[in-house]
Amino acid sequence: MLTSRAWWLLLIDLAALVVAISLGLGAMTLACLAVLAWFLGAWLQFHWRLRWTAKSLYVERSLLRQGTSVDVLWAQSTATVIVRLCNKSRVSLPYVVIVDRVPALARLQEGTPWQEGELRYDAPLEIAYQIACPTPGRLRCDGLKVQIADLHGFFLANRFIRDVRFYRVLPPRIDEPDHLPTIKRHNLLPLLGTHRHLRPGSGSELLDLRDYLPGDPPKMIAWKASARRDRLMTKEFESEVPVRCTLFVDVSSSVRVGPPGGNALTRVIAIASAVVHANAEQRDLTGLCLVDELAVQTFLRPQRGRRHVYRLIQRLADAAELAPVTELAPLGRLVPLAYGLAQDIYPELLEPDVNAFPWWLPFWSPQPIYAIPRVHRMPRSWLGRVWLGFRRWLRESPLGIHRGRFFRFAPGRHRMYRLRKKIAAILAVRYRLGPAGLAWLLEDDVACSDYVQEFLAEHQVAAPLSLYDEQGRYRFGSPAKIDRLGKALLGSVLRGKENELYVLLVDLLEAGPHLEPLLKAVRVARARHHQVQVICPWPPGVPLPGQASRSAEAPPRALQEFLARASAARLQQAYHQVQEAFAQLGVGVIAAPEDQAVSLILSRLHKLRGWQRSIR
Amino acid sequence: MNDAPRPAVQVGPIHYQILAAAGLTLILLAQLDQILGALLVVCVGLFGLVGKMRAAPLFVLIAFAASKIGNAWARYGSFNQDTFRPLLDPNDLLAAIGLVAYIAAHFRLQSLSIHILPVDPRQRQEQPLAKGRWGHGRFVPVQQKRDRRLLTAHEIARFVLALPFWALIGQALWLIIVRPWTPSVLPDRVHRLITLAWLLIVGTLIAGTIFAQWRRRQMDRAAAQGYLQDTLWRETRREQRRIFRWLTWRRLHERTRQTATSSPHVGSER
Repeated sequence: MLTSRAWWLLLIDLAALVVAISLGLGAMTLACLAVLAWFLGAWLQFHWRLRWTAKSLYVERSLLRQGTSVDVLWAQSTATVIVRLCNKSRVSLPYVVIVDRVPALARLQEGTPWQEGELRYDAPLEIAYQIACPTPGRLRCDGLKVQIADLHGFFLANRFIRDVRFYRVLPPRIDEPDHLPTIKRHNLLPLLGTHRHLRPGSGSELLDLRDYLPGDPPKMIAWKASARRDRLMTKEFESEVPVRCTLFVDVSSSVRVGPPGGNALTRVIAIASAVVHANAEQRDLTGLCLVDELAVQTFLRPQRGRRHVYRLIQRLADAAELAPVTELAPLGRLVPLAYGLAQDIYPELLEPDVNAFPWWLPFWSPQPIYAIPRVHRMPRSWLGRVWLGFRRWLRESPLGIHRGRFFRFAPGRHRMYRLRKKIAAILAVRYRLGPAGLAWLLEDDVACSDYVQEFLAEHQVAAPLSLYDEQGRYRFGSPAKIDRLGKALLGSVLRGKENELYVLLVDLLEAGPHLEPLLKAVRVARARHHQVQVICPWPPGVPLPGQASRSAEAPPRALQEFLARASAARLQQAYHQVQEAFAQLGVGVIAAPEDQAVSLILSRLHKLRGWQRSIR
Repeated sequence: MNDAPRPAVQVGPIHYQILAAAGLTLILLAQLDQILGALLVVCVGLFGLVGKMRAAPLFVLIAFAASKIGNAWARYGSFNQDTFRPLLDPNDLLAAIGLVAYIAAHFRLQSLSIHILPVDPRQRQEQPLAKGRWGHGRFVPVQQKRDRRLLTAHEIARFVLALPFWALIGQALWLIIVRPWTPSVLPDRVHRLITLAWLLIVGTLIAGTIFAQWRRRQMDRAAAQGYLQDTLWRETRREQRRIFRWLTWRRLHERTRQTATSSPHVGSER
């Protein structure tokens, strides 16, 4: 493309040339022709270089941790990213700027993710910078943005050299005081069933003495106790049974709301990861079940072993990057965001010959109002109803006056129509919607919203979503997940053996009052003498139930403070309701704030294993 | 910076400034018989060079044209006759070389000192406030300049060696343009304008078509699919629009009916 600098020079030179020829000025004509020849020569040279090297550019990327190339990182660690743009062709590009998009879940710590210079066959351009990964998930690296220009600043070409790579960031390994030390003092693995489970079995610790029953093996007779009591007594030993722990992790949209890495899902994943590691230290079996409002996404049976632990951690890391999805998000905010993303990552799909938009189309055929989803609440006041009736009459009368009539003259609508068409074209290609996909996305707001959200979520861009719909209902409550969770728990209980521990990491505060499917499953689990623990992620900054904030007594000074207090009160009330519902079944519910979550939960789990009953 | 070995001869923007000044000198030397006009061009050029004016090359071009026009008017009193020039006038060639040298050098200087890429309004940086002022600085667009360390002696040498080449190309074009038409229907100047227009249009059409075809052959699968999809949409958008609008209406109508059934206070406005 020509820059404004080039256009001005061309315009002035051509004008001078025309004047020179018209006035018969030979010297001036020669000078203007020389300038024109130089400009056209630069244009030809630039495009020739661009075309010749178009297929020769490629990206080499590596992630280094302590000097070693890695494919997997741990959260809260740092790494060095080295990216190189190489040119296989002997034709060089005189000026290239390369920019690397820092992955969404990473934070730039040192260095700059861009570089400039001449790109030659023997001299690739290299970027090196350091990132920190505070939260688990997956780092997505799409490639390199390349801007090619000539040395005068006349011509510019935007390219994106695609090289999609994923790097898992696993949840961190957390050592807590209540936890077993991770430094091995002796070269021994902990024995199976090192927690006390007070049931008779075939262990080595004496549990109890009972009367001799015919059929008991003679070696089990406690002779000294029998002599003292003058009747035969049999020894009973403790059962060394490992705990089978299954984690039910809520990955529905209700926990995904918030920026990637800063939402409830990240906290839940961190807690689940800590529990997995703690169980692995105890050599207990751990399973995983990821549940959202649609289905059970993942189910891994409780198993033991390093490979199984890594499999669990990887599934948790993959779940950490999920983005919330809602049925109808405001397109006015999503489409410009998606367009900005497409300009960086898909510039070749926005070229005028690949993705054109006739400027007159919004005048000729704007989106009709009957194709725009709108739901209005019937006004309660008589005045509101009269006004609604009047508007309906205006619309249905021969005048046909409604706000859709003015769409064709609104510049904002034109711009949105243009952006939407370009994005629809990219989405139709990207998701293989078929030849009519473009027209479909251009006319159907609901479908377009779905695909734009998927597009943004795929590239880890946080989409601005409205939390409440037109009727004032919270969009991300996900009540359907209760049913799914209940079924998954019931299925696990029916397949389970003895000594099972079920940890439910689920957001029940926004799910609504209907917890019956889940309570039913918990009831069955308790009836089979299994242990159940419920953990609700608690939003940061909100006072815990039972804790009053210092400023709670003073009247709120601003609307935001009033809303924060109302929201905190609502959450605390919901928590109490959940607590009451589960307390009837003898199941504890923990509200897990960020800073205390892991230690609190591990100590509770140790209690469940009977750890604190034993004195070692 | 990439891993290219550092050049033995260090060059900097000063070399482009020298080349620009040399260009002005050539213009002056080539037009000693039109000293006033030459001085005007040189003054405008020097002022633009020292003051780092972005439009200086354009002003120099305009000043050059003005000086030639003024000189022709002063000499002949009208523009009815062509100014006679031999086939290869060294003065004119020198002036052309000087003009190209100044314009090209100045634009390269602007790439080093102002910006080389067009300003992207999405990329902004905070401009710190002057000392003693309180508050937040405003966010201004980032201007991407070319790093001075990227300059090499090789680049300067190629720049200098190519300058006469453009003047000779211009001379060749001039020879084509002034070739008389047979039969001569219109005035010679009109013929020349038509020849120029024809050369430019046909030349850019041919070059543009070649590059466009080359680009299409290098398209990847997604871009090719987008191209075909866009072509189909352009051809059939009226029918597709009609069909999908009705389908959307029907879907929304059913959805509204379901919502109205579930909540009595909700109505739809259609």
